[in-house]
Amino acid sequence: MLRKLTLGSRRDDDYGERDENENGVVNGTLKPGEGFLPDYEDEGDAIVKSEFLSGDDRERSKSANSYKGKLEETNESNGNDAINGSASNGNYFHGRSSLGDDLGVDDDDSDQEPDDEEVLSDMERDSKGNFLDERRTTVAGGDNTSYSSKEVEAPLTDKYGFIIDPKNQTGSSGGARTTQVTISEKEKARRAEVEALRTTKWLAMIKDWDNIKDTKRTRNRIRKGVPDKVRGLVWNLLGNVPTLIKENPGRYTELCESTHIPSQDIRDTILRDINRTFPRHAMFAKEGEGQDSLRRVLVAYSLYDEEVGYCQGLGFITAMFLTYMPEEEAFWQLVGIMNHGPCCMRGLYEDGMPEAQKVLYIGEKLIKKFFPRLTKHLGRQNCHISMYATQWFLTIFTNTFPFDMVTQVWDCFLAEGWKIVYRVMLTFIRYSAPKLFRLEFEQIMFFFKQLPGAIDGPLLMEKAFGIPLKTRHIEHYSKKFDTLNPDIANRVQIKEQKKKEQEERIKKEIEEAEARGEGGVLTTTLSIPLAEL
Amino acid sequence: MRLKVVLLGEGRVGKTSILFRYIRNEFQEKQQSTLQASYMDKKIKVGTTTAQLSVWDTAGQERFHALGPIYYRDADGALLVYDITDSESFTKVRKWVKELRKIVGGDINIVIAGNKIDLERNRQVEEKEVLEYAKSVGATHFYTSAKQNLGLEECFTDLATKMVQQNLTKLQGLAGGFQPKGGKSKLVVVDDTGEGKKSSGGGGCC
Repeated sequence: MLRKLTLGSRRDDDYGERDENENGVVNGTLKPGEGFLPDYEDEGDAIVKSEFLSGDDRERSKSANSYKGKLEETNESNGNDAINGSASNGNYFHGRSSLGDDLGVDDDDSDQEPDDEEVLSDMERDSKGNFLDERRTTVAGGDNTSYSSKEVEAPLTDKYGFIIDPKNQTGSSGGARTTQVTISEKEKARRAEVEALRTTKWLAMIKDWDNIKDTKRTRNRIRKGVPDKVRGLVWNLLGNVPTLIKENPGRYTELCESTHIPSQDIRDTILRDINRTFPRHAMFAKEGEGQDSLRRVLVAYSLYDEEVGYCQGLGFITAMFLTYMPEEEAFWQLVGIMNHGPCCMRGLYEDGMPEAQKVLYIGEKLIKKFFPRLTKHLGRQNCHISMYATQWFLTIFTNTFPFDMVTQVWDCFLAEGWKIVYRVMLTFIRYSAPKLFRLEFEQIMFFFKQLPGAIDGPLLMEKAFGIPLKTRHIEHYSKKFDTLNPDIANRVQIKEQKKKEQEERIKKEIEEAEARGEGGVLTTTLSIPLAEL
Repeated sequence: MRLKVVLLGEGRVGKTSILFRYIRNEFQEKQQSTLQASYMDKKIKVGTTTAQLSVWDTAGQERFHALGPIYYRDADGALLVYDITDSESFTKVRKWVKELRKIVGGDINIVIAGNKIDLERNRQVEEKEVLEYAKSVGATHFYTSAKQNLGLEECFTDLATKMVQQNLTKLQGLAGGFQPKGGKSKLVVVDDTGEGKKSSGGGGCC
């Protein structure tokens, strides 16, 4: 199932030999105080330092690659592409850079034991180690700058492809953009170094994927973030994409070329969203290959799964996939997260959005459990979770948050499912709580609107794993929701039961008719549309 | 006085842009799809009354209503937005009027906004049809452009005026009706069937 790998040689001591319990894992949940902390947790200073650093926007622009440059790099690497599998479309943003360069890097012992992190008895009072950039969460009104798009041949982008426009780095509307948090050059260099080391390790892991995919070590490494250069490939592996493609040869092309088209309503909704999906990303900012791919994948999925068709939100997730992998892989990755564990997202988007109601319920209860006093405050302000967290859940943070956070959440989400989503939500609340207590409804709404611009992704993720959330907490509220909403909980069974009953009735009628020698009954009976169920 | 307004309409007609332009005087050429109801407010003066407009922006896709009828259930007013270059989007306005009548009742004040008037050359929606429809359901109609900041003040002021008057009338109902100083329009009464209209609030104003 693995794509051919031609570069580098595996270091036998790179994985698999250590004690897998090193991070204090017990039955898939974290013990309080034994979070999975990234390598640089050991350098405690770095976290504190990086919060209060002064910015230098010129440096940020200087270090960014141009989109054109990226494309050239992509084309060059096609020849000796290490990870290019069945790719037929070379339009995606990541994952095709030459990986060989990284193989010379000496492996170090970066999987160090995490520091013991003390669980704070009152998380609501704690704002130590805040990942929020204070300057980005001020509640007083924002800037009034106007913005008009400019025709630029090859816009400057960040490493994820978001366009860097110095005139438009702030503001609270418009959606996802390149990160607005300023990180010091030293910290940037350190992160790049860690990323390079991890890339080396991951290349070796990928080659031996079938053997190592279920180990705790692999899970720990995923939690630390999959290196961007191998991310697309690793996501494919986590989502079983190679298997799906193998089991459904030519299916994607069939769907694309199908004369059967989605309903007018679905088609319209897709088309209305195409140029409103990451309009600040180099691949999707203008009409062209990126937007075309996005439209094709979304239309194909609406045909593949007519019951869901298309729901707003899917566009952002699909577009993100397209920045990491070819079109066909992106389609199957979408099929995977929608229909298979551990993500199982399709219930979020079905008519009536039943699972969205459920995750909002679970989210609400978890916030209440961990932050009872804040919950009271939010309640008094009539501030309901659906007013700020709906889009967090519907797109797993994809549509507004900076990609250094989003992609790392997805690493973990693809491997482990929903727990990370609640973790991140609780982390936001935990570190925002001291502010939120002082705010009233209008300001709270504004605070959440501005939140994405204030996030330092890697730092946040590190904090997220320190939240003492357990799988059983989630299961508890999940069961409670099912008890309270039997119609939603049993909707699949109810639907299947009805379908089965009808099929049996039809079968019986046919048999009876045949016994009486009236073959003609068949057509009339079958004319009952199954869709009415 | 706190007044709740909800922005409704087909996707991509410019609901979010209208809100940002009106409340913060910001305009983003590249605006993303809206996925969750979002809130903004603004103080507005109608005659001697200062009211706080609490405006809710909503997602365009119908499916999302499963998550939030709460946003329009107790609204005092609705701004139904369509895009003058997109005839389908006007059909959606008709659907919304029916839906609001069903859920909220006849009390809700409705203003219809034909957005993107800066793209007049690409107009697809007939002016005559729109004005007649607006009149028939007792709604005011305005042309707007979030991009060029046209018509928005007028649009929200009209809606606010109606809502303030309605509220004051309700509050002073016992005294047999109350006309606030400086109020310009008369009270709009909309009946449940959406047919007859008893006031002069309707019609085009463009």
